[in-house]
Amino acid sequence: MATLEIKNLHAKVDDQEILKGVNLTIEEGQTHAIMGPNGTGKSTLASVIMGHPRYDVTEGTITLDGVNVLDMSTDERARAGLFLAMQAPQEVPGVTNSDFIKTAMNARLDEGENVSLFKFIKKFDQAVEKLKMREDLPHRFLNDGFSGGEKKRNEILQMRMLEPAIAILDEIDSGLDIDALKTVGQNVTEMQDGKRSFMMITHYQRLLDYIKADYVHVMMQGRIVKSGTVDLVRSIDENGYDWIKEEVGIQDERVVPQNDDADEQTVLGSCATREAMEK
Amino acid sequence: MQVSPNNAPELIAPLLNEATYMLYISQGKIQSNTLPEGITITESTPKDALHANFVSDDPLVSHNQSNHDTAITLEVKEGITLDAPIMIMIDGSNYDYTVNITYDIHPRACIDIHEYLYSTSDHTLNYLSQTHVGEQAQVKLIGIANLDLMSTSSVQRLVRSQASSHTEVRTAQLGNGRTKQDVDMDLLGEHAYGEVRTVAVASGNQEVLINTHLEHKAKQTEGYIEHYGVAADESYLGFEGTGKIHKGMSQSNAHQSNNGVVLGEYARLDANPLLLIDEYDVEASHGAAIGRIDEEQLYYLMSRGLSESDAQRLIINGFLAPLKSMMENDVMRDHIQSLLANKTGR
Ligand SMILES: Nc1ncnc2c1ncn2[C@@H]1O[C@H](COP(=O)(O)OP(=O)(O)OP(=O)(O)O)[C@@H](O)[C@H]1O
Ligand SMILES: [Mg+2]
Repeated sequence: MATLEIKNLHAKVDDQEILKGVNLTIEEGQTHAIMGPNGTGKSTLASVIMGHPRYDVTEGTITLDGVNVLDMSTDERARAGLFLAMQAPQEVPGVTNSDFIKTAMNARLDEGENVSLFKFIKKFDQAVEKLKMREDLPHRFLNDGFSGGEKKRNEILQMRMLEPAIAILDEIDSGLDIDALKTVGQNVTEMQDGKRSFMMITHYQRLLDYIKADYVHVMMQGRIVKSGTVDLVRSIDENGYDWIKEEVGIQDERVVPQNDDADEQTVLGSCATREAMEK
Repeated sequence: MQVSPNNAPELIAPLLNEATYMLYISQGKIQSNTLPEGITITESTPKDALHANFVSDDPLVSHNQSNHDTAITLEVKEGITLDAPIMIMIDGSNYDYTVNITYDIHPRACIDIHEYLYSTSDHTLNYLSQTHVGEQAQVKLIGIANLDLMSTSSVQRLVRSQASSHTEVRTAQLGNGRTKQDVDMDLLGEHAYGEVRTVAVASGNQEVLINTHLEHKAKQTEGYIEHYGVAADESYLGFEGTGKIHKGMSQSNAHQSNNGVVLGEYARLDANPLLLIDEYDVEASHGAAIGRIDEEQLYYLMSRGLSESDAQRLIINGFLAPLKSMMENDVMRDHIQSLLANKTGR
């Protein structure tokens, strides 16, 4: 379907640089897993690809089959084939799931054309069944009052309905119980048809037990610092990230370094000294 | 010669044709009507006894009470239940005029009234309705206003509710003209229930003022005021809601909410909810939530391919969901949707 190419991507929010030179190419049909400790820029990368208005790209390029993505608005990117299942999906009270998805599907058709109601309902019902969601889903307001797991499944339902060329799934496994994880895994696997590409952000190996990934990347300090195959995930699951930090010579893996530890130590130190002196 | 609904302006003819019962007023007089048995219509000011209930300290109200071009009293007989709403269509085009309608709803009657105020010219329409709700009567009064850009209008609805009656007033201001709307409801009998729900959408450089006044003048009465609004472009929309519980009117409930969305940099929306309570043994609340469309919600919808205007339209339609209760048939629903799209669809 399409190839996504990210080159030397730098992005900032409120004058704070978060992404510091990301390079990643996802070819048609490939599934890439992105891992990395908290606060290393994974969700930011997903948001920047989707065009969230809060982030400014200061350097680098993103292209979809050679076409500049950075020139497109968020909705244009979606219509060009990008999809982002968000880590924390928004609640939109007042807007029903079915109105929302119908409008999203119609937005992909020519002006004046609409999806047939019959086909829409059939497809929706099927997706609801496949994701084992509540049957009243179409009439409920979008994510409004949904449980954490329901929200995640609703993201995958939207992906099923919209059939993107490239799907970015940001921690789709968090908040899912073990059965739901399996259901979501099956749904994603079903959509891995050799043409559609995936970028899956996750913290755990267990997601990759359900969904096959071709490559695994580790992000630290706003960059990809290590890439490999699923073997890499196993090492991370067993040994954590310290060995990678050591290997690439990083002390604080976070994008925005926090000096709190160091501060606390000095304070502790002086108190301890004072206490010792008083004795 | 009577103007039949089919000769009514293109915009409103389908609404009239859809109505089972209707009264059509244009050019200052009744053009046609189909009213069911049990409802009598008199072209005159209300009877004195009834009139006493509607004494108001608002000078505009008293002015409209005594100076009018058309005055009609609709009397709904005791115990009547209608199978369909009565549509009151008032076309204010081409004349400056004042219409005064009194609904005299006798005890235990059960009736829905849909008023549609309409104009396509730069004239002034003053509209005053006075509704007397008899004991145990149930009334739903829906008022939709769609008045021309250049028009000026004042729309006043006075409601006086007797014991154990149930009254719902739902209004929508969807026109483009300068508008002032007042709803003034008195709950006069014990256990009377009153609800005033208003949706207003202001756009262009329109000024819309919504005043709702609900007084509890008997014990164990229950009153709700709800305002929903959107202000776009350079418009101004003001909500003034007052709930008042008089001394001794114990175990009454007065609640009010205001919800507003401001679109664009230059629109203004104010809400001044007021609670005046002279009694301890009551339940009361009021609040206002006015803000802009949530950027994160907009982004979320757009990330699925919806254009910004589609996303905005969905969010606003959702926000104005109370309008749905005013769309009792498909013709009216399409009609309201298109009015809304005209005002917020950009
Ligand atoms: N909109 C924002 N405003 C302020 N800071 C931000 C914003 N977005 C990201 N950041 C900061 O950028 C850093 C990276 O955040 P990001 O959400 O990309 O991390 P992550 O790798 O997805 O972490 P996690 O595994 O916890 O989800 C964090 O320090 C975060 O606070
Ligand atoms: Mg994240």
